[in-house]
Amino acid sequence: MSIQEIYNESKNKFLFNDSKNFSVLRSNILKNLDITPKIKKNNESLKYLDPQVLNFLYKYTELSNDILYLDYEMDIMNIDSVNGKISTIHKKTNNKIDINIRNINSSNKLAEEIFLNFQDYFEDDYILNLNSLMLNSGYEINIGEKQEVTIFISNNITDQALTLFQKNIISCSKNSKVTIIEEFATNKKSNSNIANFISLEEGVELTHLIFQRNSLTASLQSTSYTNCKKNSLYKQLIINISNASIRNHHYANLVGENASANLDGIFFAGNDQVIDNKTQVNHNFPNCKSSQRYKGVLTDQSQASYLSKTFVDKLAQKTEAYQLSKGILLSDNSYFHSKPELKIFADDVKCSHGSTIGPMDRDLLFYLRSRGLNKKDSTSLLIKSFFHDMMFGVPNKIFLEQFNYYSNKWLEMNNI
Amino acid sequence: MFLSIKNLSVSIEDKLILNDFSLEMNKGEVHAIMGPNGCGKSTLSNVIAGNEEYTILKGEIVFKDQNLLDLNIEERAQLGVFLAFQYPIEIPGVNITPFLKASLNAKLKKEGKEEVDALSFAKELKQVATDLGIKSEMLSRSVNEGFSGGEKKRYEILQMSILKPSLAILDETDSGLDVDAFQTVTQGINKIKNDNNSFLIITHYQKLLDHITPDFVHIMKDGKIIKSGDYSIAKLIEESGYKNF
Repeated sequence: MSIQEIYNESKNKFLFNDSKNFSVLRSNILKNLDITPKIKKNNESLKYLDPQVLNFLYKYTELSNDILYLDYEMDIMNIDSVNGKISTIHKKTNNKIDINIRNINSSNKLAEEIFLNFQDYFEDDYILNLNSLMLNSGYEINIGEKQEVTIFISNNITDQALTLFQKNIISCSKNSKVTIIEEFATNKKSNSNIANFISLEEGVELTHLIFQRNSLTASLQSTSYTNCKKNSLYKQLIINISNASIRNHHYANLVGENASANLDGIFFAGNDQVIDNKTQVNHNFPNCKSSQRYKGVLTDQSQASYLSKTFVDKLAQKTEAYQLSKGILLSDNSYFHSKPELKIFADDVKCSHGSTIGPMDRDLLFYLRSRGLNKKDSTSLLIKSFFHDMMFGVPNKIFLEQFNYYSNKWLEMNNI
Repeated sequence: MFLSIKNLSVSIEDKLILNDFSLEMNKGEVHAIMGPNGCGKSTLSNVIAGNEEYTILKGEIVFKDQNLLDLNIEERAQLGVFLAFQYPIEIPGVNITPFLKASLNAKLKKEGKEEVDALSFAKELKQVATDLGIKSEMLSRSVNEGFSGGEKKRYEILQMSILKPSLAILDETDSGLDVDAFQTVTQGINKIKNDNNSFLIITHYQKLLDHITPDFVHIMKDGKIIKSGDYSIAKLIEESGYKNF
């Protein structure tokens, strides 16, 4: 069944199916869905994608938009998202934090406007176009001014063969200090295509930690677009220890002076996995900082790509931007493609990029083994050392413990 | 014989480095190897420790009645070979304390001995570190990360003191040390030295040998030993270099 046929069969079930503007958008997307070899070769959203991701039948189980609130003994807010909608929020009853959370329905005009505006940034992104075409779920989280909150979001799927096309809005009002920890640990055969639109008002600090550990048949394509206003800081760290093919495309737009964005990622790839990573930071104002760092370990026949881009507008003087890509290939058949890109139109900037891909450093291995540690233990230690700078300073202890536990498990499973 | 190297020829990237090299050492002896740059001293130490970058063309290395060339890197370390590196490597994120405890326990396990518990290990490590002038806060840092040259060398001696090897190879451990560090490092080495272990010291300077008296001094040139003798050879080299050899 073609995507057009799938769309026609289910079009009345999608979000904003009665919206004129969304209809126009959807018609345009439908016109450009055919993938010719030329398009596949030139379109970066398809070039490094696991083609299996596009091979699906639409299935969605709609759950209620109502949210159940339960009392929770901890200070953090614990949110269960099921099939792309928030079902339960666990929080302290006496917690008076100014935060507004709701699921998105077709009558949410503001959300519709936000989604349509963001669409302009993703004209050529096939995955984002599919997301808009078959949009079936999403939620919004609005955090009030000067609030300090830690939110844990567990993303779950209830049914086999579910296809999720989800858009979320996360907005942080002035001077709020927020930590969001997300977990994807789906073991149901499924395809999740999720886009987060995040806005940081002046003085906001948002730490966004994302743990992806989906099972083999639970594909995930995660996209985010973050707008950072004056004096705000967005810190994103993605840990991908999934068995499935995963796409992570993340963008940050610095739209005020002294704004900063860090888009960091760690991935482990084995078997026939295809890991498709991309980050981009647009510097539009002076005195902004950014870093984009992705590091991965690959074995078997796995393939990974990392495209990173820094755009510096001519107004964005005193920009400091850093890009880094590093990969360790543990097998001869693994493959990592890295392409750092800089587009600079200002003349007073500090921008740099580095990329290293290769086998495990033999001098380091020799050093550790010369102290009596076997090759397996030495390799395991060196992989931890490889990711050390990315994990250093992560504020959440549980997230760190999870990283240690699942990275050890990955090493054991892959006999490393 | 405790260590016997016979007719060892070694190359790297098709370049012959050790050429029919032979050396014999008894238990409890200290041997010093001196020689001009590029004569193969560091290659020798790396090959004994098992560095797999080198190609063994011929020869044998027998240590404690075992052919070392049949053993991999960690098996040699567990048998008691220790190489103090000329350029110790930084390993961010790997803390010295658990790393060294794991190393020691791998050795003890191989020897059929009981593994050391965390508390007794930490106590011993702290004591040895104090003796070597290493501040205890440095024990919570990553291996060699951000250390000065002298600190790295002290760390090598710290590792050696904990692992108590039967054959210690010191590859230019004296280079890059200030007066105080030199003093602590040599004291540390002398503290470990006994009748049951042997030392192979690679150095450019007689000064180190003034503090750790060698039983034999060997001059190495073009991948082999060209002269052996006692401590007086080191003095000769200090005075007139290698041109007379």
